[in-house]
Amino acid sequence: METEKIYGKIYRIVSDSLKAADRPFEYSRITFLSNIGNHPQQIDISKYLALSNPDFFQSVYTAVYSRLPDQKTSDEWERKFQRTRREFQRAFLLYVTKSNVAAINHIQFIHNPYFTQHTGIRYKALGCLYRLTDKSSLRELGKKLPTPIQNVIRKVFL
Amino acid sequence: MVIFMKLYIDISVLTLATYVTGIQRATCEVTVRFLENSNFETVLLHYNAADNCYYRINNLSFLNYYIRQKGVKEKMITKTPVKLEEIAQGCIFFDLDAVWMGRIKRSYLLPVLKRQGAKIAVHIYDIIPVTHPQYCLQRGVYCFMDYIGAHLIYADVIITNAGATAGALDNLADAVKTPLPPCHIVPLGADFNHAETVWEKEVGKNISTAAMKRPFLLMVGTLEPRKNHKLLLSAYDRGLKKMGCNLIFAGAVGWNMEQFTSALNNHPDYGTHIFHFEGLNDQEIFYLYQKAQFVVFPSYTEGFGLPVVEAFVHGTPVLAADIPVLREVGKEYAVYFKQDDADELCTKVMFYTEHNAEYEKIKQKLLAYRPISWKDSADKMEEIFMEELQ
Repeated sequence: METEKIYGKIYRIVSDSLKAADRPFEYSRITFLSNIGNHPQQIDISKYLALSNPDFFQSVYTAVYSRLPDQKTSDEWERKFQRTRREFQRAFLLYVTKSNVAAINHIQFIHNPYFTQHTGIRYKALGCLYRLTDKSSLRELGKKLPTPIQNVIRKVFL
Repeated sequence: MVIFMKLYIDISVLTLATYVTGIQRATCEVTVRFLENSNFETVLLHYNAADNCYYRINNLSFLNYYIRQKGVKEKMITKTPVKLEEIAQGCIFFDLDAVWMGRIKRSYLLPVLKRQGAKIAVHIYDIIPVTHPQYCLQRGVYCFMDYIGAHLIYADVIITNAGATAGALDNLADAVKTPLPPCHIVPLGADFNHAETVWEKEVGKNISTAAMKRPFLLMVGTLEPRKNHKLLLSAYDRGLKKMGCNLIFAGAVGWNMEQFTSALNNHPDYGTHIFHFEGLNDQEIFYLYQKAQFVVFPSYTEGFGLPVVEAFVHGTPVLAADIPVLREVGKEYAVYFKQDDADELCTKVMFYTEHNAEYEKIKQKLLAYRPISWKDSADKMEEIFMEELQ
């Protein structure tokens, strides 16, 4: 597709510039191109099923969280990369579908061949917390809180 | 005959912003003028990720909050949904804000709007995340790539602030082999009256105390690597201190500035001759502009450089890095020094310190400086929409 070529070229320009500045781009080309055109609330798992475990991990994580995983999360899942594709994908999808971020942002995972996403009481209850993330006054207050409290808040919401 | 169209502006990022500076300032100022003067019916949008729809912002509440500082920000967001299907034939969707950081990616949204017949306009302030990604947070670069790619493909018209950015867009379109949508240059505005003075009693005591340390050089803007704050600190140690200069940095601390802020906070002259202020209001920034000997702009790269215009309007000379965009904005009114050269910066300051007549000449020249107003900036954008999108 022409549009995919354009995005691909933009990726190459950026990653080449970062390489030249000795700062490798942490987002892979596959992650970037896989997530182009994603619906804000729906993640179509069928797009990712053919990916290798490392690519599946980074692409789906970024699709859900809109950022890369932290080191602790990366280290935890890297230990599981040698599992079969089916085992790894199932395990990782269980992890993200149960995440607070998915619930708070009402994210649905469609065309998941492994299981049906639970959208029960916990999912709905956490979904109500979205209202808190959408208030700029609360965000400003949050920035003034002590760092340990900010970390707890980030852990819940992000 | 005037043809009225609906103009939709997504200001989700502005409504969540703590400080209205940089892009959010431009978004706010242009939006206000569209609300007050435009021939278009302007619909302001706030995206709610949980409900996957936009909600309409009450225009009057928006004006009350941002112009008259009345009301509560959250209360301007109504419960009136704006479905994407509504943004269709006869409508313009104008991307004015830093929307790439939001949940609704443009690679998803723009093709939907395009299929529905909407016209798409975008204000691109710069493409620094593509041309100089090393100066940006990688997450921001990742999000921006989606945004810029989508607009290169789907936008019907691009507005940018400077010829340098238009040139960079042209190069990018060429490199990715796609035609560049019609691209127009509209400088950012400024609405300050030369005669308005901010008095000492109108600002915080800590500000007025720091500003008494004269002469001082001022840097305004978020502390981030591409603005090159470290150059000014280096110049202080290499010569400005001996000349009796003081430094004031005014701006929030951005990403990747731990090394600089550590050097700043641990500098022996911090708090006595070197100062840093965050969260200043407009009056306090204007006060500092009026008292500064020079505003310094040593950036590695910029999209425009609004503080250059703001400094001129307050009659304050500017020392700017000699890069194309700052030459374009500063024109013959600024004094230029070689990029990243602390010694040349010191030499320039020394010259104007020792040759007061030359310094006064620059200040005299600034009396004739007239920037484009925010109203003129918004009017020009509307003219472009009428030409290109009707």
